[in-house]
Amino acid sequence: MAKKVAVIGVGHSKFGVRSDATIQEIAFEAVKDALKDAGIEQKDIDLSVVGTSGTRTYELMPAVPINEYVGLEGKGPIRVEAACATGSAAVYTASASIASGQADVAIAIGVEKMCEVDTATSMAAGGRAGNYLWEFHLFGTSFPAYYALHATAHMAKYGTTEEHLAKVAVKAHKYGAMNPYAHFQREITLEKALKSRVITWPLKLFDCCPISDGAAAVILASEDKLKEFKVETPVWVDAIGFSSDTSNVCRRESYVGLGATVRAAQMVYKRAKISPEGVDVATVHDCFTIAEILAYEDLGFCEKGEGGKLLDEGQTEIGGKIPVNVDGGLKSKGHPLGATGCSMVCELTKQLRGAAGKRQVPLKNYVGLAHNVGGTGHYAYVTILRR
Amino acid sequence: MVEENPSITSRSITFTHKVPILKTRRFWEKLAEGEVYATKCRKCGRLYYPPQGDCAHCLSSDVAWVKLSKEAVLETYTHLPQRPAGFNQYEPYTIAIARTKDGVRVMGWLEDVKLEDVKVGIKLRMSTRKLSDGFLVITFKPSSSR
Repeated sequence: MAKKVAVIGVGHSKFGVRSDATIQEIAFEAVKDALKDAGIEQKDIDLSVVGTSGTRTYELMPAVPINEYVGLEGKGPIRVEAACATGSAAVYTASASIASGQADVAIAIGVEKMCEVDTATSMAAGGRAGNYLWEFHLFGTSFPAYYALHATAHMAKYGTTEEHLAKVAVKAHKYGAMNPYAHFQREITLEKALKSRVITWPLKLFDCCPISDGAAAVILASEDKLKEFKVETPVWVDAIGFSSDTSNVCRRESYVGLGATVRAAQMVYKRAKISPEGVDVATVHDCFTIAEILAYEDLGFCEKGEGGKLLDEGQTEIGGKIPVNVDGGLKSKGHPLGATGCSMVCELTKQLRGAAGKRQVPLKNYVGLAHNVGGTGHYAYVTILRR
Repeated sequence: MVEENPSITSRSITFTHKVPILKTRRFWEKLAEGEVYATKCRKCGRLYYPPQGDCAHCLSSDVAWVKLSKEAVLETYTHLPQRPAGFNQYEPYTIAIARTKDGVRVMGWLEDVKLEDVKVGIKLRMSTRKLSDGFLVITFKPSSSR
């Protein structure tokens, strides 16, 4: 029987263009914050899992330099990579090590430095997210282009509009303005989003998350450790669902959803024995505005094709049926690839503790859902946390 | 103006790879002749595009080369004013995914059409083209255009 796993500490660095710090220095901020939150020291940790995609860094094997800098030498590390879902893969690995009895306390450190290279280089790295030889090499795909292909298809099939996409951005910025860790902490208008320049038609500047640096850390422990550490409000890792899809986008079933999300969601709902209606708050993978709409549908928050309608009704705001990305999402908070999955768990942990301040959602079932996609549905992790 | 934080410049590293194409050579050769080829597993019959020399389904490595039909239907597309490094020497291009008569989807550049005239579902004709720097690209044009 697998052991129960609890989140006992979360930490977060400021996300943004962090030209003031190296990759290990921003990891330090998140780890220090998480240790303080858990009320433990490095010596209490058995295993460190470092999640970083490492696609824009000069440090090609960064786990050990990071582990040394945060005082965790000797505790692992295991380095994991799952593109933009790397942080969730780190949480999964740390969680599984505890569930299996291999460790009692584990830390997942998600970190990424993306702003040390120029934008064109960054786009060439992101454009390789699919299958290099058959996509980037031949056709110069950029990462936004992959999601734009999905946006075009969704708009053609379901009548989703550029205004629907812009509404996702407006909502993200509204909550990002209240999040001190967010890359962008300012509200925007629908008009501003709609008038921004085209990056990859039909996606405009405000449909795209920024290129950000950042770190987030999650400390997990077995149930036996809670008394020793005097943890009063553990948040349980109830279940984690995972799946993946073809690397070649040409081989996907369709472009109006992500099959990996659908399969990961089915797995997690079954394991956690809940339905989408039982979720109080969700963080979903809105690397592009269309991605949030796909997520609503693929996670079962609405029927296929009705994501735009859910936005029109304001159902994903605080006070709506299912508040989504009330930390600003990837769009406004930023998306440092390796950090994002850990950042989602940080936000949900704070929400489930009732400690999210003015962004606090009403809690009914004390259940939160984190949805983290790697690539364009190449990976998907859906994690259910419960208090 | 935001004051810049102090930084130093890293030693640079450039990767240029020799990508093995022994198992997919036919695809690259035929591209130069304007044809797009897929592979078909001789054991289980599965059709692969992009082509591959090994069948992921039945694990056979006995595959036949199949020329794809040039008739295709547009499934989705995007236009890239902002291009990645390595592609800025070209004019902004439109990436499309179309389904050929054979039932497989192929990625390519959609050309000879105004963006506002493009609609999901239009009929396309597939071809290939050599770019100014020698790289080959698969192209789609609306069937009605000449």
